[in-house]
This record gives sequence, structure tokens and C-alpha cells, in this order.
Amino acid sequence: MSAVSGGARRETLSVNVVNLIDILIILLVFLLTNFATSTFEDLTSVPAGMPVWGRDAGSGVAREKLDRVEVRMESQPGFTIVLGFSDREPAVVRVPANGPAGFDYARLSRELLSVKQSWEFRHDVLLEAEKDLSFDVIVKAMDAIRSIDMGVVAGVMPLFPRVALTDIPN
Amino acid sequence: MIFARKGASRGGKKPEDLNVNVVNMIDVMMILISFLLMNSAVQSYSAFNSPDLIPPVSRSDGQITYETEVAVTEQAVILDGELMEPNFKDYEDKDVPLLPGLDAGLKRKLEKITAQKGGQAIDPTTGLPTAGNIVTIKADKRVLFKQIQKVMYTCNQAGFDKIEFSATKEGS
Repeated sequence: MSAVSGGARRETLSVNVVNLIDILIILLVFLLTNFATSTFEDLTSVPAGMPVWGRDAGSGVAREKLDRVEVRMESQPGFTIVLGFSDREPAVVRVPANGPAGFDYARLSRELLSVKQSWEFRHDVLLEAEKDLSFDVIVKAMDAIRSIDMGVVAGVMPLFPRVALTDIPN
Repeated sequence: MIFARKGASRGGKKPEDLNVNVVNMIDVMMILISFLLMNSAVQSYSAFNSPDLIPPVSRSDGQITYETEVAVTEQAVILDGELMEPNFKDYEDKDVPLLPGLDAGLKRKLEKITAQKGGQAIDPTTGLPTAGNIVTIKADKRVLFKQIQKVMYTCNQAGFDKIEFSATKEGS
């Protein structure tokens, strides 16, 4: 790079930008990599588990007699929440399918919220799903079991963070 | 980098050179680059991307590990970018819980992981795979649950006791 300053004398201004360009190219590569991976695919993790039979629920509260919480998921009739007790018959709560639109995830969350309010130390749910359901609806059901969206003010409230997956036994 | 001081050529005096030393700046930038490299090495990304694999949407906000990634489409199962079950669709109507190709691949991977950690893939006292190995299942949202279940069971039997699903973050 050269310039002529006033008068008869000619001065040379040399600006060596080669190193700077090298670094900028490397930075550009990183920016492009980041763009390719994070912009197009913003992925998140959904923890899932396999059922472990006979495992302790982990609660040390004596008043708790709730043995297990199961959510059955069938295209018809929809969700069925089964609360298994050690000293009495299981309680069943039905959440019918929301017409042709599919499962009523919001109502499932509300029903599970009332269970959570009674047994706050329970963290695990067994999700028994019909074999021919798609993975998409399974993840939506897991979301509805793990947390409830309470709106803009209250935000998302955790329900049952540990979800074990299995199919409906014959 | 050499600049002439403004007005230095006036008045008949010899112009002074201003040396701008960019060496320090380059040093700092090299350190920044090394941090970027370390960051990209730690937070690696999905080994398999395909139009056949559209993950479901979830409001979960967990961090994916990507230590071992099993990609599941309707047609195939891919482990860390390597095709394991090219005829996965054929298993749809079969009551076979274990996928042999994936099982072999996962066991090889588990040996590699445990060797890197300096441990053993099989616990000598229990004879069972050592606990704490995590696998990420990145499945297409159209895949049937019975197929996902086969993948989960195979992962579990191969010694990966922690399973996480990969999903697209809601609102992204």
C-alpha cells in the first residue's frame, strides 16, 4: 500500500495485513462451523429410561403409600393414569383422546400436577405406550409428564422428571 | 505496520515513523483461537444429519452429550455416522428385541470408551457391563415406538445404561 504525501517528497506507507487476514480466515471457518451446527439444528436432550422392576421409589416419607405411577398411552381411549397403592386397589384417571387432533397433553399434565401435589416426593413415572405410536407423540407425552407449562408468568413447572419407557403388556 | 505522523512532512523536517506493533495482538488472537479449538473439541456435534431424520420437538432444555450417538431413521440405524442396520425396516414386523449389528457396534464402542477411561467394559465382580455409559438416540419423529424400543433394548443390553433422546428445542 503506498501513498504520496504533500510536496516533492514521496513516502511509502506499508501496512502488512497478511497475518491479520490469516487469523480472520481461521475465525471465519469457526463462525461457519458454528452456523452450520447450531443455527440449523438446535437440539436438546430428553432423558429416557428403561423400566427397572422392584426399584425403590426413593421416598423416605412414611405417609406415602403410593407404589407406582403409570401412564398408559393408547390411540383409543387416550391416556390412562394408574396410581398403584400398597394398601388398596389402584386408582385410575382417564384422559380421553382430544378428538381427531390426538392426545390431550395439556390435560395429562394437569392431572399429573394434582398427583404431584399429593405425593411431591414421587419423581418417576412408567410410560406404557402402544407399539404402533410414532416417536413424535411419545416425546410429546414425555414432555407432558416431565413438566407443565403454567403460562407466561409461572413458566414451566417440573412434575415427574424420571420417565421410564415400555410398551403396553399384552 | 509503519505510518507517517500527520504533518510530519511539513516544515522541512524529516518524517518520523510510527511503528504499530501488532505482534501482541496476534498473540492474543492465537490464544483466542486455541480456546475456540478446545471448545469445539469438547462440544462436538451430531455425527449424522439427513433429510430422512427429522427429530421431534421438545421443551426440554438438557445438554446433549454426543459421546455415543445412535441415529434412527425408518430405514436404517447409524452408530456415530457408521451404518449398523441397513435393513432396519425389516425388523418392524419381527418380534426380535435385539438388533445384532447395532449390538456389535455398541460393544466395540464401549470397549473403546472404557479403554480411554482406563477402566474395563465388563465389571469383573458382577460380570455385567460397567455402569454410567450414556447413549444419545437421535430418531426420526415418524419412527414407530416398537422400533425405538428395539434400539433402546439393544443399547441397554450392550452396556449403555443411560439413554437420552435428541430432540429439536421448542421455538428454535
